Amino acid sequence: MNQRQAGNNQEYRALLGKIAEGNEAALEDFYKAFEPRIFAFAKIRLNDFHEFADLLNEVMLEVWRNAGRFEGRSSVTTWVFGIAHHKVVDRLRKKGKQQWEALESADSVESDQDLEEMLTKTQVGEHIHWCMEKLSDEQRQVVHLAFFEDLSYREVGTIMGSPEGTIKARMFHAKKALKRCLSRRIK
Amino acid sequence: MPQLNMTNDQHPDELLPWLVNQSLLDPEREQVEVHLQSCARCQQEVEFLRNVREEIKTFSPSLPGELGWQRLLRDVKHDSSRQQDQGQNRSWRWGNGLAIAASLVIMIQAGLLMDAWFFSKPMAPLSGPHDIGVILQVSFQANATEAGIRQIVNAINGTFSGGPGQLGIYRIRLPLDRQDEAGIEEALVYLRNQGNVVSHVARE
Repeated sequence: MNQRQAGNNQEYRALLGKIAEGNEAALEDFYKAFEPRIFAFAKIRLNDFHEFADLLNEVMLEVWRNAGRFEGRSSVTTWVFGIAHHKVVDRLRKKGKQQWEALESADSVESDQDLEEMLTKTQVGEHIHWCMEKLSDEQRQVVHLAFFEDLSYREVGTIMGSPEGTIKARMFHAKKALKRCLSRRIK
Repeated sequence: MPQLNMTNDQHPDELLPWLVNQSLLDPEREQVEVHLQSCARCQQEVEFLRNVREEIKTFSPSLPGELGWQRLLRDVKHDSSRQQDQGQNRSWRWGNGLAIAASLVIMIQAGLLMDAWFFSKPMAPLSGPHDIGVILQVSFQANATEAGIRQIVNAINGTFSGGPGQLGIYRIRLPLDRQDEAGIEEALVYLRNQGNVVSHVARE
């Protein structure tokens, strides 16, 4: 956790304390702080706007109900995203959602140098987002939590309930799959 | 923490993403940085990851905003009142049975009188300020989802004009082409038929 994250965490903890006492204004501040983050997290894992909105509502309602039980063993962000992760897993399980097929990792990839040159030459933004969608659900989640949320592999492991080694391996394979996908698209 | 044993043949690939997002602990970070100084391959890898991270950081989905907050607030109030009810129910277990029975008798008598009066009146708005155009007051079932609510509001081309108030009532403005009596009635009938989502509807 860097200095900015540590500062935010203190602020969130203070808000949780007030929420636990039934303070709706504190809940509103908390909601506004996490709304774009939970929504972005939902968007990489679920299908449509309504599902994102329902998930956000469910997570925040859970925060309202359980703020008093937060013990500070993890950061507030890890706790909130842990709730979101379990809600998503429940939803996917209920829907019997098929996982995206992870891009195989054995295919040939352009050399790193070629890809690096292409990345600087081309508008790669849309390609990166397109390729992100082709990752497996778990890989996409790890990349999102690492690069959108800037969480450590320990925190990501806590959220997903997976060992640290598994998280690092998922990230490693996600990176390979992204490279392969990008090298195919940016030709 | 185990020491990382890195040579130019043993690259710290699994740690590079976490170096890029600056979440490595100091001992890990220092060792990876030492390796990076003499490894062009890993430097390139880090550059690639930085590009991906920068791009992912630009991700900004459109949000539910005020509507999402109002929905949460409604659910929170519903949740709180349900908890209060449960608390009261627990204390009632030890309450005075005779008092409850007496209240029930009074309520039934009052109910018989009220029924005749209530059904002789049209549904009326429960509360709220006046607005320009035709406004409907609508409250939704506690288990209504965002998707369900949007679907029915879209079906009448309505727009949210305010709410929810203390009673959980939303104000929905009808479109200009639906402000004649026939259009209003059609919208009211449609909403009343959506009993799984709508719990009350009336013209303001």
